[in-house]
Amino acid sequence: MGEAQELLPGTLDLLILKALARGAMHGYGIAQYLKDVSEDVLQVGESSLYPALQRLLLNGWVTAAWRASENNRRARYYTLTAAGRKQLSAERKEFDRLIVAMHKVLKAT
Amino acid sequence: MRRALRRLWYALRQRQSDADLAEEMAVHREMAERELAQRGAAPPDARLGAERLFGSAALARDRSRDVWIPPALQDITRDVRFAVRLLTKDRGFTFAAVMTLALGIGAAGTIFTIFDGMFLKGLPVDRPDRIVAVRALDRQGRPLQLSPAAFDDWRTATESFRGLAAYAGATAIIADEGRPPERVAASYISATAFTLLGERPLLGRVFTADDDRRGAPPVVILGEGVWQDRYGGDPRIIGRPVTVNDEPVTVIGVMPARFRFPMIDKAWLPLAMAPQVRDRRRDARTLAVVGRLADGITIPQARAELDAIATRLAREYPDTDAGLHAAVEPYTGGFSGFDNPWSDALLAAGFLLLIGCANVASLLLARAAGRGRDLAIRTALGATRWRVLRQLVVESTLLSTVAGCVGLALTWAGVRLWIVSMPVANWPYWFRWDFDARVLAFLTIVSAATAVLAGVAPAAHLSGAGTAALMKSDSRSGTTGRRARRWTSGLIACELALTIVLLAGAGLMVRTTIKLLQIDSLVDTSHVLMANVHLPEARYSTPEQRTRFVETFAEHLDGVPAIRSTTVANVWPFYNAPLRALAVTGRPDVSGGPGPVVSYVTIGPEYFETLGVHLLLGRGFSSTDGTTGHFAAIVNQRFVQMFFGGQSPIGAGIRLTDINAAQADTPRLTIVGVVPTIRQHYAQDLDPVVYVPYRQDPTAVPVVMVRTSADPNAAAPAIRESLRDLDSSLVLFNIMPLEQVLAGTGFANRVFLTFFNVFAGFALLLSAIGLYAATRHTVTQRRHEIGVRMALGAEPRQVVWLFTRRMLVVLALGGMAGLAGALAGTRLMRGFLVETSPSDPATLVSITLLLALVAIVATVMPARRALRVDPAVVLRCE
Repeated sequence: MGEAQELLPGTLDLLILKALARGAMHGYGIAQYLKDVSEDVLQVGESSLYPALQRLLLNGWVTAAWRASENNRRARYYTLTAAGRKQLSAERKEFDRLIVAMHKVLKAT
Repeated sequence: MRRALRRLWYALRQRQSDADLAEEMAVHREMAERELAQRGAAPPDARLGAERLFGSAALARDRSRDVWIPPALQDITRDVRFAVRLLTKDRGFTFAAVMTLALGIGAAGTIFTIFDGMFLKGLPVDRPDRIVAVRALDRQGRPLQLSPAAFDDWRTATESFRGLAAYAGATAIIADEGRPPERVAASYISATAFTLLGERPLLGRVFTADDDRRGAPPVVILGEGVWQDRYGGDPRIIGRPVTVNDEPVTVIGVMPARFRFPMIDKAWLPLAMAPQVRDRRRDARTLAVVGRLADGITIPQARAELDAIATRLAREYPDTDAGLHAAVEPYTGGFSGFDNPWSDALLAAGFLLLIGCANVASLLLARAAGRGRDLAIRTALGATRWRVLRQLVVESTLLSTVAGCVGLALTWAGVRLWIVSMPVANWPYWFRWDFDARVLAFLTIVSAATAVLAGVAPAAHLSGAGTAALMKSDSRSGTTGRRARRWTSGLIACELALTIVLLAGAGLMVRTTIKLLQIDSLVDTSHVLMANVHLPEARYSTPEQRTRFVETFAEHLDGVPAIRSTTVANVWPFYNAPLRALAVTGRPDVSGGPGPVVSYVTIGPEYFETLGVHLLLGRGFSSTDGTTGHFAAIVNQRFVQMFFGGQSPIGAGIRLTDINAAQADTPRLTIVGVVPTIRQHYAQDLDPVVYVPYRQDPTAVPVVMVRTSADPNAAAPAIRESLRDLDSSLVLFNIMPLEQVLAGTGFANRVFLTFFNVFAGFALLLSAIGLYAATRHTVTQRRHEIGVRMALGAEPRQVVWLFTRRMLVVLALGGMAGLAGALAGTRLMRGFLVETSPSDPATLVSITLLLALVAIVATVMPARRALRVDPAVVLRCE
């Protein structure tokens, strides 16, 4: 497995927002989701996940609330806000632009 | 903004937030563990795996917190919390430090508030900083008023002002049907003045250019006070005819009570009505001028422009205008250097504050030295120097903030005390001592400066020392804290030096006050009542008429049984008299520097008898003195001392010129007598006075003084009755016992005496505390060494000497610096010392002895504690 994949700066926030776009999730759920969807490439360490979640809370893009989890354990669920949704689409556009730009550079002869 | 609110919300419930995060992460780990277990890992492996996956919980927690609260802020919060704990632990120290600083801050705040209210704040109008007084200066730099002709020239030529207005003092007697006539402080004033100052009338209108024309129907504007008191606030006052100085005029407006320009006025007449504006001679200088600077023009620019105009006029009118310059100054005087008592008091308060800072700095330093080991360990463990310094700065900031708050309260109390103890006097209307934003800003700046000054020494001490040195500094070896001691000695030397300067100031004020009491006691003020009369121009236009009235009035009063003697004068004793330039016959004119100026008092017969003053030389005025061919003068002792070197001036001739008046030929006066010095100015050194017979220059506003056999106030009705018999339209005003006048004029002196003595007293106390604390601290620090010395057979005397020796050196150094400072500093006080040299040896010697005595007691007392050290106990502690 090794170390978690190094992410481009700022992309973790984008990924979390994307994960939450599907619905409310707790921290562990987010980490699992990212890991599963990326087929074990993106393993988010908690020491970056939780600070990132605090950042999103501070910016008002997500809200948090304690709820019972699927196996009846108390867990803190994060929900995307309207501002968070807007941020997600903006960041996503920006990210796409960046990828395209990088592709152009890498493909240049 | 929202982010800031969220941060705040987080900070307020930080404990809850931390708990949330901790639980959340625990749940996370549990879930991961369970999943690993489901995949078949053994429970211990599962936990380890989960923990590995999770990474460092502590790191996650810290980083999460950093998101909400910037790390720098967290550090400061910790520093503040630590400082609070430290300060609340050592309450005695905190109280002493806070009070020391608060005294200084309160003293500075009080003086600043009073000073600001008088000189800096300016008139209570829109943009007061743009309002300036405009004057002319003669060749010798003496301020002159402007002649009406020159004012017109300046006003039409200048472009630096939005407006210029002239005014001249007037005594207005308002009379109308059914009410007794009443005297009101009034001015003749340019129509432009009201708009220039931006003040609207309460009722009616202000003057227009049409009112301010020669021959216009006469009009008057009343102040709200007169309108309320005399006319019961009747709005029908507008358009009503009243009599002012025997002339019928129409009331056209009422000004609000807050407007009393230029001084304490309650009625205004158009400048064109002033008799003096009809005099078109360019050297008949009778007008004061106020202006509002045009936008973007500075005071120096305005002065330069007016100067150019004055130079042009000097070429045009060389006889009268040659050598004239323009002066433009803030209307309320502004800040004109440290040569007035108020700015000196401010300086003294600043010194007191500096002494307080030095004291607190040395206390903090002692404590910091005690913490040297602790700080050294922290540095060794990787705390940056900045981190350690910041802790100290936070501590001193906290102290000075609390001290600032206490100082604020002291300032408030000080200003209240000033306001209630002030005598009822005719202060200019712009004097206001509000507790406003300016005062708060001043106190904030002073408190911030205090934090820096008090915190800088310990910080500098620690930042200069290496870790190893700090480590050692707390050890029990004999050479402890030498650096800290050097700093402390320096601070205490500074304290002592500043204290000497303050003591010198206080000592000189005491000498001055004693002198003033001696001098003023020459006048027997008991049983003397004074009152002013105004003789209106309309019926008393010639000098002969005025002299005749005054003589008849005095005769009438002498007939009253309760009155023992009567006299008149142009001004009463202890009060500012008009000034005249002096020339002594047979001596060359002093050209270049400002020529001698003397106070000019015109007196009726029996003046000195009424005041209980005896002639020293020569004779009093005879009935022929003051008539053509017999112009005579009596001078005071101060005059003789200044201009005749103590030789008899009897028979000498002098000439007096009014630099503001048209230079007609001034008569030669023969000195016929010498009297003791009676002051005509307060809060400054004794003035030379020349007395001339009243009939030689009869003023229109004479003051009548009577000596009574009983309570002087009881004579007032008799005086009023005599006046009514003579001329029922005349009014008495300023009716006061002379004793009250003296008490009032002594107020300024008493205030400065109090300020200087209180400040010097505190300074002495603080220095003593500083010395005491420092010696005591050293003794405690060197207990071990003392023990060894005593075990080896040192005499108690030698041990005490060990500690006093050092302080004596500090005392000598500080004392010498202080005396040098005092010699330089007290020169500033020259202007308001009376018969006292700023370097008065008796004062300097006695204050030095006082300080030395206090300093030695403050050193020896704690040093004797060393004797109580039991060598056996100390050495066993090892």
